[in-house]
Amino acid sequence: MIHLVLVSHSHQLAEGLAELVRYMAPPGFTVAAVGGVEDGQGSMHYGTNALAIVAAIQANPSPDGVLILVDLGSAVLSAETAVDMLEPDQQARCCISNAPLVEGAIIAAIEAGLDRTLAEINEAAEAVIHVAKVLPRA
Amino acid sequence: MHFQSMPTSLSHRDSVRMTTESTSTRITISDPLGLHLRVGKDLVQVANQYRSSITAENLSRPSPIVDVKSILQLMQLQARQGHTLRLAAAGPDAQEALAAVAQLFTTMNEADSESGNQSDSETGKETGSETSDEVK
Repeated sequence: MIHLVLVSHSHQLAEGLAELVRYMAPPGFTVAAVGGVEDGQGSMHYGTNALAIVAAIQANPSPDGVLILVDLGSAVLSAETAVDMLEPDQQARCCISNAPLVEGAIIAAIEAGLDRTLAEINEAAEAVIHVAKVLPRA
Repeated sequence: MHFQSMPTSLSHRDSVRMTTESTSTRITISDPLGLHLRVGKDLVQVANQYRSSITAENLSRPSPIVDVKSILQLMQLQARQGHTLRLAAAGPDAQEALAAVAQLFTTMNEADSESGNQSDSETGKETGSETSDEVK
């Protein structure tokens, strides 16, 4: 089963989403939350840290792959930097998704329980981009 | 909860040996929370156990006909309490698939109407309530 990594500028946002994902996910599904940066004095600030993302990936380097969802902006750069730091065989099993963070995470958790591949799961998660969230009211 | 089964299959039994059954039914959402994420997850998991295609359409508001096997599409139904959905299945195990999916709606309605009747559990503010409304 794939491993899911959630990257946000906010520690609480990442942790809160991971909590929701665990509620929705099948048994055995793993999700790691990475949010915020520590200032070295025990305080958290908003931001993303490539090394922390590497650690989150390594928390479960699943042979089925690792899907990385990011919130926005420099989270993408940090995720790319993190993947660049990995060994080539592990890089090949990582996918930084273009999916929106919340929808993507929920879809990934559910699809992972249906024996989908990393590519299929990412495709399902990214498909949300083309779907209207708010429909016209009757 | 209205439940009318309308099998539309078997009419061509003579001409088609390998019958592709198709059947449909209507259900009304009585859950005060509407069709929420937790139920959506269960629907997707159950629907994926069948080979037949299973679709749903919200008859109470403009909605696309969605694939019940996809959580993304299910979310598009935006079904609230009181909305009527048309569920349809087509394929080799259509009857079983439809029954299983419709059963989930029934269970959801029963389970959540009970919790919903305890006044304000919809807001999640009720203390001591172990009803499963933490995810809507």
